[in-house]
This record gives sequence, structure tokens and C-alpha cells, in this order.
Amino acid sequence: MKEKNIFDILGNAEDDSMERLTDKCPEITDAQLEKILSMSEKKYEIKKKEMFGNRTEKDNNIKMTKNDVVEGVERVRRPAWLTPLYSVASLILVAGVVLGAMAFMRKDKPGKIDTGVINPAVTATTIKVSGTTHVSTDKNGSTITTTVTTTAIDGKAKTEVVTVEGGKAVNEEIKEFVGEWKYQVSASGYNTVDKGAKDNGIVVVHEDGTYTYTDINGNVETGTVKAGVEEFGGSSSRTVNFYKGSEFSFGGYYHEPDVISIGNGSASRLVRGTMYNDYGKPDYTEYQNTARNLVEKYYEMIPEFLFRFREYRNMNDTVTFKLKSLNSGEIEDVVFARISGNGLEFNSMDDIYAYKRTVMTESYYEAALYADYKYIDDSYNSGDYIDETGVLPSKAINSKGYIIYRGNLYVSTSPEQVGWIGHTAPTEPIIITDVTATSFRAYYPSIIGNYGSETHLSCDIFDFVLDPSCNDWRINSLTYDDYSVYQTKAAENS
Amino acid sequence: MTSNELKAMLERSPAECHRALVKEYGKYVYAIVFNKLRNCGTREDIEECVSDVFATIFMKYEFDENCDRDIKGYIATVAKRSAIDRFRSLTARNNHTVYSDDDEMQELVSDFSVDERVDRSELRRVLLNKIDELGEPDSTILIQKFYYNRKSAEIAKSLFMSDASVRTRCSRAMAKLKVKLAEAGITR
Repeated sequence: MKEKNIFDILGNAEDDSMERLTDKCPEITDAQLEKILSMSEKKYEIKKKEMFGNRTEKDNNIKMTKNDVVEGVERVRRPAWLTPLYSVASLILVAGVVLGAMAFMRKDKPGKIDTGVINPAVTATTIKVSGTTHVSTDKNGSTITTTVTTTAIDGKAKTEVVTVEGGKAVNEEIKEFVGEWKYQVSASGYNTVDKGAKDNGIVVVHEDGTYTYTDINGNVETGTVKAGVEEFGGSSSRTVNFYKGSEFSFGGYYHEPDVISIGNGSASRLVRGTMYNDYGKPDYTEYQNTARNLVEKYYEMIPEFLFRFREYRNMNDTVTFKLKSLNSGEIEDVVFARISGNGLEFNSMDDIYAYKRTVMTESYYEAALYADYKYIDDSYNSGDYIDETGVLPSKAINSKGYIIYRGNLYVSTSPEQVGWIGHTAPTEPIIITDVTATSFRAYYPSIIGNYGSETHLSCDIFDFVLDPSCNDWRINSLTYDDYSVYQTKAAENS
Repeated sequence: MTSNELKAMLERSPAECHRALVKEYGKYVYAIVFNKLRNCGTREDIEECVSDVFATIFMKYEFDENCDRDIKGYIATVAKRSAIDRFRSLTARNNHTVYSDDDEMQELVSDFSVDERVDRSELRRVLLNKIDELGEPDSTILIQKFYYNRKSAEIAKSLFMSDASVRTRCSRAMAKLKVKLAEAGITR
């Protein structure tokens, strides 16, 4: 039980209550309207300028104003030999289309029965015939090398396609198995592995078709992975086999998603990811821990963050400036500390951005790059008052997370935590949904305050993906919704 | 105002269009922003956030060809998100400011026992229903006074009443509300 202003309960209202509160909202006075309008126009102009500023930078600094007139003719000299070259190129293209269409028609000619088995494009009887290599360049200028190798093992023909993108080999066949697998064996020895399993190690399948198997004793085995199809009694099964050199090490059937059953006895298996429990089901605690860890780091870096590398600050290496408080308007001492000597060292905003990338996917990281810092003129000394009269609150030093002063990066220590955001109380766990091998979603109660006096602010919805560039989880997006969304999800998952 | 009307107006005169938008939706945006920031922001913070919302909306309508047809819904979403962002930045600065005049009148609304276990949204509905039952102008006076933290003089001006009668009506209405809330199980 808690005493409070009964009208506080109306805060953070859902839509229907909000409509009722809007009806009773005092009318905006003319003076207020003018004030809001002029502030909005100012901000709009700034935004517009920023937008066009970015555009012109991209357009090689072409600067035009509204009244500029485009006139004159630019003469472009075109080499004479280009015309015949284009003609030849178009003839080759047309010939290619015709030949391709003919080949396609032949492939599907009537009378051919689809057996469901993929036949190799080329058959061969030697162990390894040759590699046909095709080199091309993609739109970014990276080299793509595709090697088609036709081999025959035990008299069965097999074609393997290896693509090299920007120097990194990608085995097309193995692509869907890339990632971390847990090697599990039956716990009892009498039962099958799905009745109870114990860990035997971790297998990581790499994009180039190789694998690394680290067993529970720390022994490491490396080799190559082969995927194929095995026909038996009229039906076919997909197989994934692991070879240590030319010697078969282990392997099995891929019948159900994310599980490779090893051998026929179901005594052992590989399950996708390390976030599975002994029954081969997603281990939600693992997902929750992953989500919590990344979200805590995420909140460490957003501009208005409350902790801001608190445990990593070096309080023996600080500078202090007298700044106007954005709330009270009074002059206050604001202490800025270096982030060094306590496990993390950040010397520039680039270091912060690099750290950000360990938390977010590249696309989200690019969308979430904030200008959360300000340069302080070298002429100021620690302890000086910095006059920011006329500076918009959002541009003031006091609203920034970091300053760069005399070549060093400092973090602001002033926005002390009043509670925490995105915390998870034992009674309000992170809800994990939509789990796939490479993605999942987490619902957080976004709470601020202390236990007993917390305010439910909203529901944070984070999407996580397994980032292929590092084979680790990263935040891919964050959206907010009403707190009631969290409550609904919690009820569904209880 | 429809999306097409808005676009036509924008082509004629952006300034006129902006003014019309603020005039039409100013109160709506203000109410949404206020709802999120009433416990942590000053009146200036709220106005600043409202202007952020409109700047975003001006940009959207000027540069996004595929802007939403549902203006009100879009504005509500922008307002809600901006307010949540602002809430975070304000609370991060560890300075909760509740501004209000008439301290003696605050006593009327404080010290209610609210069981933490009661669903807050249900409680909100009960409270709003009970306030509505008081009828006009009392319901508006109470909401503007204790929720929107308006001065009695400001309320008096907008409702064409005297300052004294707003105060009297307010005290009486609050007494009535207390009885109604007690009946609903919410007591002091």
C-alpha cells in the first residue's frame, strides 16, 4: 500500500482514457500557440538544413538555392570505338538469352519424370576431376569467385559449389548449417538422446564449409563438412557429414529443423545454437540472459542513458565545468570522467561506436548513431564556467553524454540514475517469443524508478538476430508500445 | 482535416499549413505529451517536446510522398514516442519537478491509499468515470486543476467563471468525488 496523489494514476494512460483526458485538456492559448509554432518552425528549419546538408555532401557538394537557374549545355566527348563495342556486347547478350532459353526448354521437355533427387550437373568417374572457376565483380567492387568442383566418391558423382565473396569463401551447400551446434549424447546410455541429454561439446560450422569441434575436455578437431542426399528404399534423406581430412568423423541425418541426428540409434545429435536445453528445446533463460546483457549495454550508450559506463569511469581522471542546469537553470558543477583503467578504454567517439557495434547489427547501428558529444574549446580550464546563453537545450553541453576536451574523450557523470530503465524484476521477466535459429524477440517492461515506486513507462520490444559477420547475437531493432502489451504477452506466456 | 486538404494547403503556403496543423492538433499533442511528462517535466519541457512533435510532422508531410492518410493516428504515434524519449532524458537528469500553485489545494488529492495490486488501467477508468459522474463544469475543473496542474485563475478564465467560484466548486467536487471513490473501494 502506498500513498500518492490519486490524479497521478491518470499518467501514462492507454488510448481510451487518453481520449477522455484530451477532451478536458485546457485549450491552447494564442500566446502558447505562437510560441509552439515558432519553436516548431525553428526546429523544422534546422532539420531541413541537416537533411539538405547531408544530401549535398553526397552529391559532391553541389549547392543550389531555390532561385538558381540551370542553363547551358555540357559537351561530352564519346570515344568512337564505344559504338562497335556496345553492338558486340548486345549481340553476345542476345545470343546468351537464346541459348539459355533453349537449354531451359530442353531440361523440361515432356516425358522426363522428376524423382525428387538432385542429379549432379556433370558426372565423373575419377576422384577429383577439375575445378571450373568463374570470377566476377559485384556492385560494390568485391570479387566473387565461384568454383564448381565435380568429384566422385565411391562411384557417386557430386558437385560442390564454393563462392568466394570479397576474399571469404562461402560454401553454398553448407550455408544453412553455418553456426554453432551443441553436440549432445544420451544422458543414460540406455535411452535415446531426446529422453535426456548431456553435452559432449560444441561444433561450429564455418561459411567456407569447414568445422571446428571442441569437445567437453577442450580437445579441438577441425575438418570439412559435406551435405548430401541419401536414397534408401525409394525415399531420400538429407545428410550432413563431418570429415577429419579424408576420414569420416561423425555425421547424421537432417530430418527436423535445427537438429542433426547422429547415426541410426538416436544416441547422439547436434542441436542448433548453444541456447537449447537438454530436451533440444529453446532454453529461454539463455535467451533472457543474452537479451538482458545486450540491452544493458544498449542503454549504456543511448544519449539519455542513466548509467553511462558507470563502472568503467576513471574518477581519478576528471575535468569539471560550471554549466547551467537544464532543469533548475542554476549554475552547477558537472564532472566529466575518462573511461579508462577499469576494463574499458575509450579515447574517441570512434571507440564508442566500435563498442556499439558489439551490441547492434550494422543496419541498426547506422540508424542509431547519435551526435551525443560536444567539443570543448581548449582555452577553458577545469573549473571554468562555460556560458551557453542562447544555446538550445538539446545542443547544450549538459545534455550531451560525452565531451572531447584537449584531445581526450570524457563521459558526463552528472545524469545520475534515478532508478533504471529496462530492468527486469523477478516478477516481471523478459518475455521471449518468435525464436528461430537466427532471430528472436524480447518484450521488456520498461520501468523507471525504484522498487515500490516504479512507473511503468512502456513496453520495449527488441528484435535480436544472429549476426553472420560475428556469429553472435545483436540488437536489430527497438520499438516501444504501451505497457499493456507487455502485460498481455506475460499473460500469454505464463 | 484530411491528408489531401493538408497537402493542398502545404502547396499553397507551408506557413499557413503549419499554423493550421498546430491549431487543429495542438491540444491533442499537448494532452498526449503532458500525460507522459506531467511528473518529470516543466511546462517549458512539455512545450519543447510538443514543438519537436510538430517539427517532425512538418518534415514528414513535406518530404514523405507516402505519408499516412490517418493524420490523427500518425500524430498520436509521433507524440507518444517523442514524449517517451523526452521522459527518459528528463528522468535521467534526476530532477523530478512537479509544478503547481495553491499548495493548500494539493492536500485535497494527496494521501489516497492506492492498492499497488489493483490494475492501474482499471483504476484510471474508474476514476475517470467517477469524475464524469460529477457533471460539468466540475469534472473539467477537477481534471484541469489536479491533473493538468492549472491555476484556479487560468481555469476561471477559460470557463468564464470567477476565481473564487472555481475554488469553491473544486473543493465541493473533490468532497463528492471522495465519497464516490470510497464507494468504489478507493479510500483516503
